[in-house]
Amino acid sequence: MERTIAHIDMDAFYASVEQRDNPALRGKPLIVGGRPGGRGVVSAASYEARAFGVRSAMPSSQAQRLCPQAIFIQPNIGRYAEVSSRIMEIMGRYTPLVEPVSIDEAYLDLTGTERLHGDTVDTARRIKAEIQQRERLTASVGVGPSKLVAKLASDYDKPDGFVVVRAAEVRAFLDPMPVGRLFGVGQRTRERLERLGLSSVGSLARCPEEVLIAHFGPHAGDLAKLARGEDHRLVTPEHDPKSLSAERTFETDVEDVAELEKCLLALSDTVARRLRKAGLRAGTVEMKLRYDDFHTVTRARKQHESVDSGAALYRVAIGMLHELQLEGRKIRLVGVGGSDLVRGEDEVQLSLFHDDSVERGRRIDKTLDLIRDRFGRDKATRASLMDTED
Amino acid sequence: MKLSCDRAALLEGIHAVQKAVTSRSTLQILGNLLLETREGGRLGLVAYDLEIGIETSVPANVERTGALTIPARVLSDVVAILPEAPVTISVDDRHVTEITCARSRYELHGLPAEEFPRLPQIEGGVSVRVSGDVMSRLIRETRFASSADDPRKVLTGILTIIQDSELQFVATDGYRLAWSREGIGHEVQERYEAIVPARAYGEVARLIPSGEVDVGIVLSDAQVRFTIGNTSVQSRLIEGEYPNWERVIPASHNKSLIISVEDLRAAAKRVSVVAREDGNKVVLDGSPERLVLSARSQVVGQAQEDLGVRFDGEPIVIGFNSRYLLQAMEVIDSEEVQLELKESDNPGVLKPVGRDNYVCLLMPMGVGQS
Repeated sequence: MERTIAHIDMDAFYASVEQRDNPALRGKPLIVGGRPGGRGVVSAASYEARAFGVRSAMPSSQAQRLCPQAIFIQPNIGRYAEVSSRIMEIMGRYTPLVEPVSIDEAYLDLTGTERLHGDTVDTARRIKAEIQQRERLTASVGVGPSKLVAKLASDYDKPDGFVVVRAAEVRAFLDPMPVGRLFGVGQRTRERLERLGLSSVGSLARCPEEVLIAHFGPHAGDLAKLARGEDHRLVTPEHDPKSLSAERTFETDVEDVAELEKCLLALSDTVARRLRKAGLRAGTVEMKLRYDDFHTVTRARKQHESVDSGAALYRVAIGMLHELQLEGRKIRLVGVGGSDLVRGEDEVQLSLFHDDSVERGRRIDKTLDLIRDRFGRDKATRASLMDTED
Repeated sequence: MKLSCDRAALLEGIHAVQKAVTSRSTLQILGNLLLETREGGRLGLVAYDLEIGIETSVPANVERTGALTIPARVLSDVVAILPEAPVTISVDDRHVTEITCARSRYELHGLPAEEFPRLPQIEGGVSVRVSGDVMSRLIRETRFASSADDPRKVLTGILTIIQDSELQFVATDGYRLAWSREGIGHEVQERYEAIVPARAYGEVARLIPSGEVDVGIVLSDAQVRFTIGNTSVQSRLIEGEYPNWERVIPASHNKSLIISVEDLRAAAKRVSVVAREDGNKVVLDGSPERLVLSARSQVVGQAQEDLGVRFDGEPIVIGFNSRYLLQAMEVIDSEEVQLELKESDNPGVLKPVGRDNYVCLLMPMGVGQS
């Protein structure tokens, strides 16, 4: 099915917010970033400053040489984040599939919103207008059948642009662009491509894949696909979380280690289930414990093989629990977590010694997931947890 | 007890034993060194953390025999900064240790020597000698493959086998395995097998000086002792059953790559910069013409290395943990290495070309297993 993806990129975001909020700065070359005396860099430059060649990430001292009359101000990230979240909220009213890329840009998947909001291109236009109206800030919007095209389209007519590239126009849109515009083509790859006479996206798209693979290795096929505008990356509403955890505060403080262990097992199951649902595996297992005096200890242990099963999380968590001196201590809270998350499909380190218990654990988890998905969370549990889970 | 000794020799002795001092124990005395006079005009130094003990001795002028224990950290810090002059050590009956050297004088609080735990006696067992070079090599080639903190304790050790006239070391963390062996020059009747903590071997390796030196090994049921000159490292053995390692060493392969060690090491190092950002995976794409190493990370980008190779068999694409590959390549010291492969989910076997006494197995990183 053809998708409609929009890429919305706020124009000179930091600088625009500052100019909006302070009329004295309007129409002037404004640089948000470190002061030129020190080692600061430009975070954002207004279009008036850009006319002098000032770019973001440039050392402030260089920016000042290029544009001596520029006004420098310190960034107020808190303020920008506030504005950003309001803008993201506007986007979220039109589609749940908003993927913020950074504070000032996001991808939106508008596919299938027609019934609710009408034509998808009109919707994108409305979002742009609403941002302008509510926040008095301009955005450049690109609409296309993929993230790749949408992103290049939003960049095509900055600032305040609105560029639509339909599926049939993708090749004509991409072909004349320099190869360096494709993501994944850095300076080195670009130079190597140019040496082969492949300086435009079109020439790259027409080059037989075998030739590319011979020169650039197995991943070159992906490059050719990109050049042809084939980009199937999904708009994923949230970035993969950095960690997942679950914790439980006891109604009355717990002294009994066996009770803690049971709770740890239930929490391990919960975290593992959420990992599997998100298609993630944890490279590090974490355990948290809060004593009745609110003194809190956390422990983390890196795993050779990433884990996504309750049994595996529990095994590590319980090991860390047992290393603490718990005798006579009252515990208020326990928690289990996973961090260093990796996508489940990749990066599975195979094991030399086949461990039956791992395989068995996996089957138990699958069955539990299935039952809980179908009949509800409280319908199945481990026998050892029968009397603790609600 | 009262004696004097050379400062540099004393410091060297302290450094030799210090790694067996533990400050983390609830037993305060394990943070101490035991100093005792020995026959033949020597001062013995002992550290023991109840798993590993290290003993050494340095020449001394003994005036009055005896023993004392003193916090290792303090003693080490003090001796390190004393001037280059004879050091006099004496202890009174309140366990106050007096250390004087030139115009410096310290009074340090010790604990009664009787409280210091004694290293277990080694009874029976087998005793062999190997050259320091051989010992160093066996340790270097296997220790990296052991596990640092696996709950399966046996994997934190190095399986040590004495059989016929050979000494064999095997280490594995369940994902890679290293096996190295060497003749020891004399026949041993029975087969002896023990799991020695990799940490103990780390200390042995550290204490082997360059130049010609022998290492004596005494192996009993529960303890092992390595003697290097005046110094010895004694360790508890790890109890438990070592995994069936012989079974996982592939009996056959259908693809063989011969690669320059230097090239592969350098390539592995370069791609690992990217690989370590995201799951540590390096992909090897081998074909008769070339071997391509690559790594990608969603965040950082990708890296690729092209290598010349002598290839025998069908092309293959296989993933490995870049850290494991790199660590293996760092211990292989031949000019070329042979990589034997079967399928992408079978272990890769690295062998130095021209040597048949070392093998390193790497389990691949697979795709999709849930």
